[in-house]
Formats: sequence, C-alpha cells, structure tokens
Amino acid sequence: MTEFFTNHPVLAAVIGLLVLASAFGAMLGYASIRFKVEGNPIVDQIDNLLPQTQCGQCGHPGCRPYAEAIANGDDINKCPPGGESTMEALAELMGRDPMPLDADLEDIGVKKVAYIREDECIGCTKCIQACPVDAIVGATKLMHTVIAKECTGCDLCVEPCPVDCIDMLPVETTIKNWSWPVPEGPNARFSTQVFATDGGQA
Amino acid sequence: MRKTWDFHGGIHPEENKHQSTQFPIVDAPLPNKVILPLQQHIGAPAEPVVLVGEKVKTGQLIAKADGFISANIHASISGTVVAIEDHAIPHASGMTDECIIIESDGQDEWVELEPLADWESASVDQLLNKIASAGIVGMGGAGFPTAVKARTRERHSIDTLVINAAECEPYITSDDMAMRTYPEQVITGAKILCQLVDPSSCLIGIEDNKPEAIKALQDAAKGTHIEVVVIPTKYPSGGEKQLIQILTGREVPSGGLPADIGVVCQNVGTTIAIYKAITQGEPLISRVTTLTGNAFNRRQNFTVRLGTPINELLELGDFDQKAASRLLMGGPMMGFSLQGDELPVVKTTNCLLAPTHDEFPDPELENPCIRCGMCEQACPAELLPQQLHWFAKAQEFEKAQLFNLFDCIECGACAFVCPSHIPLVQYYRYAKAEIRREDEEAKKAERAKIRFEQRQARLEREEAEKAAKRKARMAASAKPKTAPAATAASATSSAPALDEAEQKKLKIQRAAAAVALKKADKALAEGKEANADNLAEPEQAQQQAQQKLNDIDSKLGTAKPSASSAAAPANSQVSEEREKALKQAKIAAAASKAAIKKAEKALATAQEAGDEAEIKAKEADLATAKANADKAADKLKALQSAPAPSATATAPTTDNSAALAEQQKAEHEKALKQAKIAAAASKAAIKKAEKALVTAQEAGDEADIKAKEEAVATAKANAEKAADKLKALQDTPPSAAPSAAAGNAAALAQQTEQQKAEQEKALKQAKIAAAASKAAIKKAEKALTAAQESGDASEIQNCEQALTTAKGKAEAAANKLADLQQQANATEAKPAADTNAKTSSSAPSEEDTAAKGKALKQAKIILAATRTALKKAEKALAEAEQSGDADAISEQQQTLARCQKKFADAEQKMAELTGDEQGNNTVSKGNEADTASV
Amino acid sequence: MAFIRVSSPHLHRPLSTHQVMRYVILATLPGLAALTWIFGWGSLINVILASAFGLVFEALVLMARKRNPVPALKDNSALLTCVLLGLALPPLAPFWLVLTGSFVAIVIAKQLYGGLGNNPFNPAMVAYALLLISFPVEMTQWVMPAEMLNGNTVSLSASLQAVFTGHQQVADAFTMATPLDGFKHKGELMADEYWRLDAFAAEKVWGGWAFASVGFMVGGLFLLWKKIFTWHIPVAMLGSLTLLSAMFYGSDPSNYASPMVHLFSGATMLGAFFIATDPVTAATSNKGKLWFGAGIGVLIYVIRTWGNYPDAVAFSVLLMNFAAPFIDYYTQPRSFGHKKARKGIKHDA
Repeated sequence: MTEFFTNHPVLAAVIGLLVLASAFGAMLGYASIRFKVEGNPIVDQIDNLLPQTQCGQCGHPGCRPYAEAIANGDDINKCPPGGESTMEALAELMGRDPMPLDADLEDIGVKKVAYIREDECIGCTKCIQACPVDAIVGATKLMHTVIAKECTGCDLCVEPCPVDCIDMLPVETTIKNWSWPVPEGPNARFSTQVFATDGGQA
Repeated sequence: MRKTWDFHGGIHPEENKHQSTQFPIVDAPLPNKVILPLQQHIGAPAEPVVLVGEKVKTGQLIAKADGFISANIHASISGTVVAIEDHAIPHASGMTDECIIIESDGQDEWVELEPLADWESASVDQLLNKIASAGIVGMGGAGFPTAVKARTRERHSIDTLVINAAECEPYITSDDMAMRTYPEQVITGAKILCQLVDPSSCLIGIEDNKPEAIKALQDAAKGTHIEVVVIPTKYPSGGEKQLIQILTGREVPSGGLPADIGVVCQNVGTTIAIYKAITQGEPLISRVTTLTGNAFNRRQNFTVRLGTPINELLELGDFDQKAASRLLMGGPMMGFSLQGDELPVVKTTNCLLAPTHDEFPDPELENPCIRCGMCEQACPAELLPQQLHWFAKAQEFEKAQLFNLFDCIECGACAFVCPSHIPLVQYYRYAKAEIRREDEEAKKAERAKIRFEQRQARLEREEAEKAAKRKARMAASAKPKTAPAATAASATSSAPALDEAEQKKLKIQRAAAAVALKKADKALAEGKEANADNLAEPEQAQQQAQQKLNDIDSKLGTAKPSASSAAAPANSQVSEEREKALKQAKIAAAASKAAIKKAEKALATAQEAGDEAEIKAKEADLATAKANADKAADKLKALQSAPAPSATATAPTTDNSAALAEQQKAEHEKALKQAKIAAAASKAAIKKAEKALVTAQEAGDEADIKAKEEAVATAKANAEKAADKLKALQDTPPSAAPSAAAGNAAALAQQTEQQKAEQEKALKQAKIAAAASKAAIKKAEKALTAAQESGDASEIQNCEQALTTAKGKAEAAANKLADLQQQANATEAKPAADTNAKTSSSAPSEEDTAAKGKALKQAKIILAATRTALKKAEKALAEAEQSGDADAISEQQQTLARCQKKFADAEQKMAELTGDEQGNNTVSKGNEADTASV
Repeated sequence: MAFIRVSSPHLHRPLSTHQVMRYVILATLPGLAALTWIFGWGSLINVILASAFGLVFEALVLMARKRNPVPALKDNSALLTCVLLGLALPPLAPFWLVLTGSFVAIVIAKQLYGGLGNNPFNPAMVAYALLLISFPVEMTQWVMPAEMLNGNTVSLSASLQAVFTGHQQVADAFTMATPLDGFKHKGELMADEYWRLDAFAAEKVWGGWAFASVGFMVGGLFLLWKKIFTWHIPVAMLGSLTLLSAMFYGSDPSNYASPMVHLFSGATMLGAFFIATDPVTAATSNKGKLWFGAGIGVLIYVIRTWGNYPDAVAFSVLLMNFAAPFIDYYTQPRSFGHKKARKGIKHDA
C-alpha cells in the first residue's frame, strides 16, 4: 500500500484529495441538514431594510414581494423612496455592488405626503381603495382626508382620483422638525478663495 | 463648610458679568403689544381659550395646558387679542409658530389674584395645582413644566432638593440680580418646594463669583434648614447633572432623571415664580432678563413682561445697531442667534446679548481637526467629542450613538477650546436630529408594514366571505324565485362589495403591470441607445408587459360594469343618482370658477404685456368662462332646490310611476351634467388653443399662428355645439318632470326623452373624442413646427407622420360623430313607434342603461388617462427636441407612438361600449315582455 | 448688524491651530540655540533649509490638488514639521539630504494622506527614518562639539561649503559618531572601560548632548505650562525609559548605559516633548496617552540596547503611531452617567 503510493505520487495525491473532498462534502451535507434554518430569513432582513411605503414603484405589489424578488436575484436599485441609503444597505446585506438608483433624480430623497383638496373631493372612495396602508379615511360621497402621519407618500392614490384632487406635497420643514444643517467642513476654507476647489469631495 | 465634588473638564471663559450688575433691576415700560407663543415650554403647545377681538386683563388665562406635559399661558398685559396666528418666535431656526398677539390698552388692569394665603398648611395637591395653573416652567433655559417636575415624588423617593443658582454662563446676571434683590422670595419659594418634595436636605448651589447674592441668601436662609453651598466658578457647573454631582457627588445615570438618584433640581428663577404664584397668586407673566453686551449702551437687568417684542427692549437698552455683531438670546455658550428683532421675550429668556465685533468676531472658518484632544479635556460629560465629530461627519450615526452622543448636553465647552474652530456642537445637533429622524422613519416604516399586512389580511378575509356568499346566492337563485326582493337586497349588499375587492386587486396588479411596462420600455430604449444586438429580449418583455397591462385593463373594464350591474333597489339608486348629480354639478361649478380665475389671470398677464388682440381674446374668454360658471351655478341651484327623492322613495310600492319619473329625471340630469362637463372641457380646449396661439404669436411663426387660429376656431365651434346641446337638455326637463306623475302616457314620453338623452350622451362622447383628436392634431402640428425650426429632417418626417395619423384619427372621430348624429335623428323618430310596445315596466331596462352609463364613464376615465399619458409623451418629446439629443428624441417618439396606440385602443373600447349600449338597448327592449312578467 | 445664524457656543478661546503651532516652534528655540552653541551653524542651516523646502513643497502640492495654498501655509503646520526635521538631522548634512527629507515629510507623509490632521504617521519622523535607512553614512556622522575643536565651532562659511558642495573632507574633519553610536559599537569593552577610553572626548561629547537635551526640555516645559499638550505622553515616555534603563543598569552596570545617558543623549528629549506629543498621530485619551508614551519609552530602550540602530526615537514613535488607533479603541473614558467605560465598539451594547 505505502509502496504503491510512493511509487505513484501523482495518483496518491489525487486519491488523497478525493478522500478529503468527500469527507468535507459529507460534513457540509450533514451540517446543512442538521442546522437547517426554517423559513427564509434573508427575505425578512431585506424587508426590514425597505421603507415599507408599499408604493409598487419597484414593479412588485408591496415591499415584501420586492424583498422576495431581491432574494431571488432581482436588482437592488428599484426602490426610489428608500433612496441611496437603502440601496447601499441592500448592497451590503446581499454582498452585491451598489448600483445607481433606477429613478428620476428629483424623485429621490424628497419625502412627500398626499393631500386631498377637500373642496374638490367627490367622495368616490377610489383613493381609499388604492391606499396600501389605509391612510385615507372617508366614506362614499363624503369628503376624504389623508392621515398625514400614516401616509407613506407612495403616490398610489393620485392616479385613481377621477377629479385629480390629490396632490403629493413635499413634507414641509416646520419649527418642530427643523434641525441644524451639517457644517460645511474644513474644506470650505479652500473654496472661499480664488482657486478652484474640489471642496467636500476630498 | 459642606463637602463639594468636582466634575470632569469644564472651562473658564471670561465672565463679563460686572457690566450688567452695576444697576439694580428696573421694571421695563409696558409694551405696546405682546406676542405670546403657545409653546414656550417642553411638551405639547397650549390650547388657546380666547378669541380674536376678546378683551383680556393682565394675568388672565389665554391658553390652557394641553396634556400632561404642557403649561398655561397668561395675558401679560391688559388689552385686546388682535390675532392668533403664526409669528416668528425665538428659535434657532428663525421660523414661525402659533402665537397669541395682544394689543395693550395701556391700563395694565389685572384680574383678581387668588393667593394661597396659608400655604404652610396647604396640601400638596393644592400647591401643585396652583403652580400648574400659574404656568410656571423651568426658567433656566429648557422650560420643563415645573409642576410635572415637582410631582416626581409620586414615583421616586427624593432626599435632596437642589436649587440651581450657579448661573455659570458668562454675561448673564438675571439670577444673580434677582437673588440680590429678592433673597426672601428665593428662600420662601425653596420652602414651598421643600413642602412639595419633602427632601431631607435643600441645597442652593451658587458659584463663588456672586458674593453679594451669596451674602443676601445666607442672611435670608438663617434659621431654616436651607443651605447655601458656594461652589467654585467653572463652566458648566450650572448644568443640572454637573451641579448635582458637585453638590452630592452622585451622577445622574445616562438617559435617566435626577429623580432616579433621589434629587430634584429647580432653577432659582423658578423658585421666585413659585413664590409669586403661591403667596400672591400671580401667574408667570414677567421675568428678569439681562440686557448686556457692548452693543447695548445701557447694560442692566429688567423685569420684562413676557411677550414683549425684542425691538422694544433694544430701544430700552439703547442698542447700537452698527456696533453689534449679532443678537443672541441666552448666554454666549448655549444661547442662540436671533434671525430678527420682531421676536417676543418668552418664559426662558434669561438674557439678550448684543456683543460687538470685538467681543464676538464673526465665526472663523473650520480648520481640519488636529486631534489635539483639548475637547476631551474640556468635556464635562467625559465624552470623546473628537470621535463624535468624526462620526457625525461621516454620517456614522450608529457609532456616534455607541459613543454616547445622547449624553452630550451641548454645553459648547469642546467647541470653545477647539483650536481648529470646528463647530462641534452643530455637528452633534445635526447628528442627533438625523438619528431622531431615522428612528422616526423606522417606526413609521414598521407601522406602515403592519398596516399593509393587516389590510392584506382583511382583503383576503373579505374575499373569502364574498365567495361564500356568492355560492350561497347561486344556490338560492337555483331555487324558484319566491322572494325576488330579498334576493335583490342581498345581492346589492354583497355583489358590489365583492366586485370592489376584485377591482382593487386588479388595480394593484395594474399598477404593478404599468410599472413593469415602463421599466420594459426604458430597458428597450436603453438597449436601443446602446445599439445592443439582443433587442429581442427587452422587446419581448415590453410586449409581454403591455399585453399583461391590456389584459388587466380589460378585466378591470369588465369588472367595473359587472359590479355596477348588480341591481340596487330602485329608490336608493335614485337618491344616489341624484346626489351624484349634485356633486357633479358642484364640481362643474368649481371647475368653471377655476376657469374664470384662470381666464382673469391670463387677461391680467395679457394686459401687462399690452397686446390688444390678446387682451380682447382673453376678455372674450373670460366672458365665456363667466357665462359657463353662471350656468353651472344655475344648475346647481336647480338640483339643490329639486325635491329630495327620498320622500318619493319611501313609498315606492304605492306609486311606482312616481319613482320611475324621479329616476328618469335623475337620468336626465346626469345627461345634463355630462353635457356641462363637455361644455367645460371644450372651453378648456379653447383656452388651451388660445394660449398656444399666443405663444405662437410670440414666436412669430406665421404658419403656426394660422394653424393655431384654426385650432381655436374649431375648439370654439366645438364649444358652441356643446353649449347648444346643454341648452337643449336644460330646456327639456321642465316638460318631462312634471308630467311624470301624470301617468302612463307621460311615462312613455319620458322614455323617449331618455333614449334621446342616451343618444346624446353617445354623441357627446364622440364629440369629445373628436375634440381630443383635434387637440392631438394641434400638438402634432406644434411638434412639426418645432422640428422645422430645429431643421432636423428625420424629425420633421416623424412629426409629419404623427400629424397624418392624428388627422386620420380626427377624421374617424368626426365620421363617428356624424354617424351618431344620424342615429340620434333616427331614434327620435323611433320612440313614437316604440311607445305602444312599452308598458309601465321599464324600470329594469332603465337600470341597465344606468349600469352601462357607468361602464362608459369608466371607459372614459381610461381614455382620459391615456390621453394624459399621450400629452405627457408629447411634452417629453418636445423637451427632448429642444435639448437636441437624438437618442432621447427617438426614445420619446417611440413612447409617443405607444401612447397613441394605447389611446386608439381606449377610443376603440369606448366606441365599442357606446355601440354596445345601443345594442343592449335594443336587447333590453326585446326582453321587456319577459321582465314585465316577472 | 446682520442677523446671522451661528450655532452656539459663540465664545471661543483665542487659541487657534496656527497659534498652537507657533508656540511649539517657539519652544524649539532653546534647543536650537543650544545645538548651535555647541555644534555650530549646522543645525540652524538645517532648520532654515528644511523650512524653506517644506513650505515650497506644501504650496506646490496644494496647488496640484487645486486648492489655495494660503490658508494651509498660514497654519504653520508645515513649518513645524520641517523645523523638527531640521533639528533631528545631523548638522552639516548635505543640502540634498534636507531636500529629500522635506519632500518625504511634506509630500509623502503629510499631503498624500490628505494634509493636516489626516496623516497617520509623524511626517518628520517618517522622513528621518527614510533618510536613516537610505543614507546611513550621512545620517550617523555628527559634528564634534565646539570644545573638542578647541572652543571654535565650524565657521559659517565652512559649514555652508560642507552643506552645499558636499565637500566630504570638510565634513569628515569635523564629524564623529554620536555617544550612543559609540557606546553601541564599544565591542567587548565594559561600560566603564569605554568611558575611560577617551575620557576627555566622552565628557565633552556627553556634556554637549546633555546641554542640548536640557534646551529641548526647557521648551517642552514651556509648552506644558501653556497647556499646549498634557503631561501624559512625555512623563510616560521618560518614565518608562528611565525605569527600564535603571533596571538593567542596576543589574549590570558594566554592560548597560545609565539612565542619564539614555535621557540626556540622542533625541530623547526632542522626542518626548516635540515628536511624541504631535497630537495628530498620538493617542487621544489621557489613559491612551500614557500607554502611547510608555510604549515609545520601552521601544526606544529596546532598540537602543539590542537593536541595530544607535538611536531609536524615530522608529519607536512610528511604531507607536501604528498602535495609536488601537490604543484609542481600548482606552475610551467612562462617560458621565455610565457605569463602565466602553471597550471598543460593541454592537450589542
């Protein structure tokens, strides 16, 4: 036996590797059965990162379906409400490369809330049916109104309105949610002078 | 001498307190008006309890605490409430908040004050109520409602009461001077607090740079258990946590309250306010405020009524506008810069600081951090300010939180010592706000998720219930119809709801499909742009998406009519019908009003521009719009004055014909309304055409002008037609309605009328289609001119092609219109023949028509939507052309073509529906014999 | 007056970065004066040359980065780096040595990392270490003290000639190994034997070095008094060095140099007060600074005694620069209101 191996070193190496491979393969196979994780936690993790606007802009009916789609290999850049940060978080979670968001630039990052011009509302309930988070109250032939606190700004109520009385207004800065802006940083001192600058980027 | 402790860090800025301690406290003159923000404290804003125009006396409650953590607001002068509105308030943002504004009558007439004479024997609740109703809040800076703080005893055992008299901020002397002037009040106030909190020791912590105040307090405190503890001067020893550590050696745990370690801390100004509230019954309407800084020529402490506008105080302090570098409220370390001088003094305003440029030069530019660690040496919270600043800068908020960002008290010691002039505190404020915002968003997302899931569950449940009901109904309908009314009733309750659920599902699917289509389009366009070889795949995807969308649309289309075809009981339907009509009339009225406004605006701009022809055109426009509005208003009135159908509907069994008549009337009105809408639409078209004309005139392109003029003419003709029809419709009801009750003959007459109305409706729709196609032509022409201007041959060709298609479509629409008009003439003849065959049992067919009308309406909406899409596509194309990007243009042209196709589809469907309707009309007529027998 | 929005605090201590740097530069003057007094014009020429080169390099790099060089030049940081480099280089070093050193310090060690505040290693020491490795001969030849040249230092003209023409004979005539170098290469001799070998020279040289060291110490104490830096790093560094050398000297005085030799020769004092205290590259918390300083002291002793190089301040400081982030990570202070200090970043906390 030993002699055989010493005489055929290449064969010995091949056999050795095969034995090792099968042993590790068996171990891995056993581990995958023994430590099997129920459900698909990655979908939950993705879902937790999504902004839950349920807006359907990703082409999926709701955030969770999109989370499932991502888990199955869909692109991670289809969530304009989440913006750059969500995309980056997804990239990190999925171990993929960040990619530019698939949306118009002006749509990204602006928080909006639906507002019903109540004089014009005819009480058709169409928007109520469209709202994915039940944030519109009202009854047939009665004026509707948006619960601004619950509105995710998903846009889905705008299209169904037959009299176009729903506006998507950007969330206003009030004295309650105002905050100090981030300071300009030390590179600002270079930009106050005559020289061109790459201020802020370096 | 009591043992004191030290806290880490701290700084020794120049105190600059002597400037404002040279003169005693003086009452500031009564302000001419006061501005009292509803929120001068932490917690919920107070709720106003006075009305504009009301006379108030000094000390009168004008806004009531709203919720547990909130505080009352009192009038600080007597006079008239002139406004309750948004007004700039002292806040770093410089923004506005709701304020009550009182104009003084100069009398300073007080309400009757109710002191708690015998406070030593008063109960805790009595004292707390008194403090709460006086609106007292922490006057050191934060403004936390005092009554809430004093109540902590209910949940914690308190052994030490700390009165914060440190006043560690440079420049400020309001507490110092108040203690010198009213030491008895401070001590009595402290005694009252002791009675409330029942501590074993009461300590007044005061920095050793106020010898006069220390002496006065010690004298006043003689014979009491209150102890005046002199502490070394070091900023920020007046911070609540720092003072507690100095005096007791205990550290308030991170995220906790002083009460957690058995301490309650109150500001010395608050103590005086408590004294006034309890022993004199006087609510918090004034406070001592320091006016200091070298830009004031008179640096002194004043007793100021709350709400006094700062500009009055500036005058009082002989403020030198030129010398000042900025205006601060509060001290130099933690105060904020003001964005104006129209702001009021509030409960927490302890100082107005107007430094000169020599004292506070403009902020220097931020230099890079050299990691010198001076900030760390100065931080009283023993944080790593430098690390926090890196994290805030890199937006690593999670790490910033791990490094205890929220233990930062924003005292500014770090930024004070920073040799690189880094605005550290601003970095922390920014980071804190971002973290709070992210938290808020995470919570909101969680809530949205829950709501979404609950909604999904509900929809599923409802659907299951519907399915069950449907099964039951099918089983029931298989049996002989012994009680049709009951079945109808159950059907009405369940069927529409069921269909609604289905529709909703379809709609969601549709939205998804639409997005998918958009994506596919984009992918295709991108592929084309990149000249990719494998365009087949995206194209296929796009087609599939389109197909899916169409499927869903058609399903949606069928779902809707089926929903509405579930027959509702006649009477309820009638009343519904009527209400709908009313609402539509209202919409029409609103729309016409808006149109007037727009026309007026246009007129104004035209007048400004000074173009006479244009002005004339606009005036004409305005006139039409007004006429229109009048009409709409008339109709609205007519509808409103019409007897409510419910009265008739209550007894439908006894008087079938009356109900019928009512229903027919409603039907008619609906037609009328639609005519009106059509009229409004045509008017809008005119306006648009005119606008286009104006732009064309401005551009000076003659061909374009001509085209536009033609368009205007057509639009006007169209509008006239619509108006005529409207008039015709409006003329008819008087003859129809009254005769309805008369009997069978009249009913028959109405039937005819109705059919006519139906025809007209179809006609109108055709007209709308025609108008739309005309608009499309116009757009195409415009695009063509634009293309010609830009001189791009291929583009011109494209546009020309588009124009031809549009024209072809317009022709088709016109043809259809003509056909319909012919048909209408034919049917008008027909009713006479039909009258004999018809009997009183026309109700079911009537309902059928109503259902059809609904379907039609939906089709119309779809049509409108596609039209908008078309319009958008055209606009995008125009923009692309302007930018001259060939790829973009071709992309947009494709989109346009697609939209046009979709539009055509929608039109076709519409046409089918209209055709269908007529067909059904005949069928229903054929079935009438059967229905009658049921 | 304009209504401006400025975040609090509105008061600032009148001590800016450029002033801090200026204080440090001023504090090197006693040491520089001592060096000049004892070793002649060489060090002064070094400092002036290095500063000139350094400022030019700083300006050039900033312009290459498309930035205005004025604000950066005004903060004196480049000047300080070059002054320290000039002090560390041997007097009468050829000008190209100084040029190379300035280039490495400013361009490579400072600006390529992002400029002031972003360099992980002390620029002057990076340059010094690089020169020491690349040009060991030039870097280990130190001028003889004046007293060994009969009270006359090398004349200014001779110095300039040596620096600019690289006339090796001039240099060779006046230079010798440093005491630390000599001690290192004493071979089999016992310590006292070595000292006795050339008692006169040893005394003179030793005295000269001690004098310069005292000069640097005076400057450092001035900075401490001015609260430009805290006592932690110098005390920890000198303390650990003293402790170690005392231990070994006590156990075997014949083989190991005495603590006094370690403290007052070579660049120990310059390193303790001017190099190791460079805040950009040092640890930040007080506890961290103690570890950082102690680490430098230990490394200096280890390298001097058993390593290949006679002096070790540059290498020790650079090695501890590597360790500074790690030290910071584990020496965070206990924040107010918290029971325990945080050790590193824990995500479950």
